[in-house]
Amino acid sequence: MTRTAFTLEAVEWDPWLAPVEAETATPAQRAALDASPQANSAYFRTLAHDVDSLAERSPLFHSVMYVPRGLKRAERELATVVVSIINGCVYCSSVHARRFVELTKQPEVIRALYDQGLDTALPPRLRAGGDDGR
Amino acid sequence: MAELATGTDLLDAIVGVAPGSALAALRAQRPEILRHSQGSHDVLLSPDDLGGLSLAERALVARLVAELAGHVALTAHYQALVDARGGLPDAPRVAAILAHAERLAIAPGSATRQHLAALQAVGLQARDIVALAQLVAFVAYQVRVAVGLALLAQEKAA
Repeated sequence: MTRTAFTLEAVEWDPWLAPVEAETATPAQRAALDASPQANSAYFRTLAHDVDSLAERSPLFHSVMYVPRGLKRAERELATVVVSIINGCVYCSSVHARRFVELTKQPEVIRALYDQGLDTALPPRLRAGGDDGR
Repeated sequence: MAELATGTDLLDAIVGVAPGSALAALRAQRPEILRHSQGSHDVLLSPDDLGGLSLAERALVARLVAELAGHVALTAHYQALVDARGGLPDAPRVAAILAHAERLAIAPGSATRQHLAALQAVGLQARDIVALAQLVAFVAYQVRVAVGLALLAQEKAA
């Protein structure tokens, strides 16, 4: 299931560690999952193995990505796409690229990053945000 | 400054954010980020329940990631924590943990299922493998925040 091509399609992510199952989750795991963006996703159920770090990570991620003021939502998603490309994560880039496109209706920005690389021409403000991701 | 005193914000200490400074006021605009950045640090470096990853191993992983990122002050901080905690008797196990930490820090997309099997072979459980990945990710994040804050401090001083 290894994928190497960055995409704007949804990509299924299967963990290599068996995720925590709802039936056997501890109360602390249940609470941390309920405070995560998607309590039933295999991704968060895998992170729930180390429940204390998930319980800190979810509110930290939320504050960085979604709390108003400062960078626009779409700009935060674009910076995250750039980081995902550098990390080589097809799954993360797919998630954040699709959010960026939902917010901006500008799939061409993502296609340019995917096809031409991180040095592709971008509007100056997006260029600055993308460069900070590097 | 090996083990942090309760209530200390490590990023403030590393960057030298003085109480009452413009940078302190700037950071105070994002109280949730401060709380959960320090909270992530605390539960990854000094958890109440260690699971199968020792305090010394956690400090050593943090030191490696800070060093790979080239952050001198954080590397020194975590080195002091390694020295204070001591006791890393199992060399093959530590080598496997550090090899995985380096892979995640440098080229996370290159990790494979076999790399997790190598961790399981030296005794790590699912929880410990997740904690290790979270720890690598956290220090990578911490380094970037520290660098960004230092740049803002220069800008405000200029």
